[in-house]
Amino acid sequence: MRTAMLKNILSELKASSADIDASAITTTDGLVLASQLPLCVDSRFATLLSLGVQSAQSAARGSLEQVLIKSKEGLIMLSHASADTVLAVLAKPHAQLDHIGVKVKHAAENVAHILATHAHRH
Amino acid sequence: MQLNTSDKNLSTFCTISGLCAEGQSILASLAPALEEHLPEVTDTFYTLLQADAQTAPYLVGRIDALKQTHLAWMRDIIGGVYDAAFIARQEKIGEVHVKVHVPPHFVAASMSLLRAELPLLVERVEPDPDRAGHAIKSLMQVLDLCHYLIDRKYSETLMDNLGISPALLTRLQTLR
Ligand code: HEM
Repeated sequence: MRTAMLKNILSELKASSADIDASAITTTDGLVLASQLPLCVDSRFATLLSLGVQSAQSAARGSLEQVLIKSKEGLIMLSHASADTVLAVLAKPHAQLDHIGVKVKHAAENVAHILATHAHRH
Repeated sequence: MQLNTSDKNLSTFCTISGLCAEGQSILASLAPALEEHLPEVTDTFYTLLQADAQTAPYLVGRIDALKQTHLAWMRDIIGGVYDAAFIARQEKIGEVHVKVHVPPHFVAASMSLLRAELPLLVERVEPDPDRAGHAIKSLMQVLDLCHYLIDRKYSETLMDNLGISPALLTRLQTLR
């Protein structure tokens, strides 16, 4: 039930922008809760976000909002959906960051809401 | 090894390592005779640490204190009591080493030296080759246990500082 709801959020996110290729929700421990294929998700995403949090703190940049990885073939956008969940989004290399950013933020809020209202034991 | 622990990884370590009560008690019975020779080992150890360009800077201004710490630690490992407090003392070393930036290869090198030096000491104080053999076997197993505990805590502390939980670390270690 919860997984289906999370998957639904990811499908809506993909439908909201042609620039979004794939997405996934994992815990900060690297456990995959839901993914919208094709996306090879693994614990490295959670690691990058953790390192982002620590880096932002140690560089006095306040609390982390997003980790953005830009490479030739595309973008990886990592953000917290809740304190212990990660929303990872893969987008096209020339995606409009502002537009995607808004959609991702909205999706993250929905994920947080579902996780808060549908407790689940992994 | 006889250890009452709910720590699954440590249990596995102890089961496979095979440190047994008999070996532990032979080692402990030799402790008083071994103790008087331990300062020689500490002196050899610190002479080597002072001679190496990587380790020497860590000793500046605290060599006497570190020697005392090292001596106390060696007395502890031959003491024959390997309980929860003993485990916690080894773990504390890993934690402190992260704080003072002592990397794992320093500990690995030190342990290697001890694995070479301490058996010779045991042979000096125990003329019976059978008892000496048992004591050496136990001593090596205790050193390995300490090495594992120090390194494990070092890695956990480092990962914790990076915000990487034990569960995430396990997933990273088993990435395919
Ligand atoms: C078998 C290897 C080693 C063992 C068992 C060991 C053990 C210890 C212990 C028991 C402490 C005190 C922890 C506490 O405060 O509770 C300590 C701290 C320390 N160790 Fe090691 N150590 C080892 C190797 C090394 C090496 C090779 C170096 C450096 C070259 C080193 C440098 C230090 C330093 C700088 C401290 C902090 C001392 C302070 O608080 O001022 N250790 N170690």
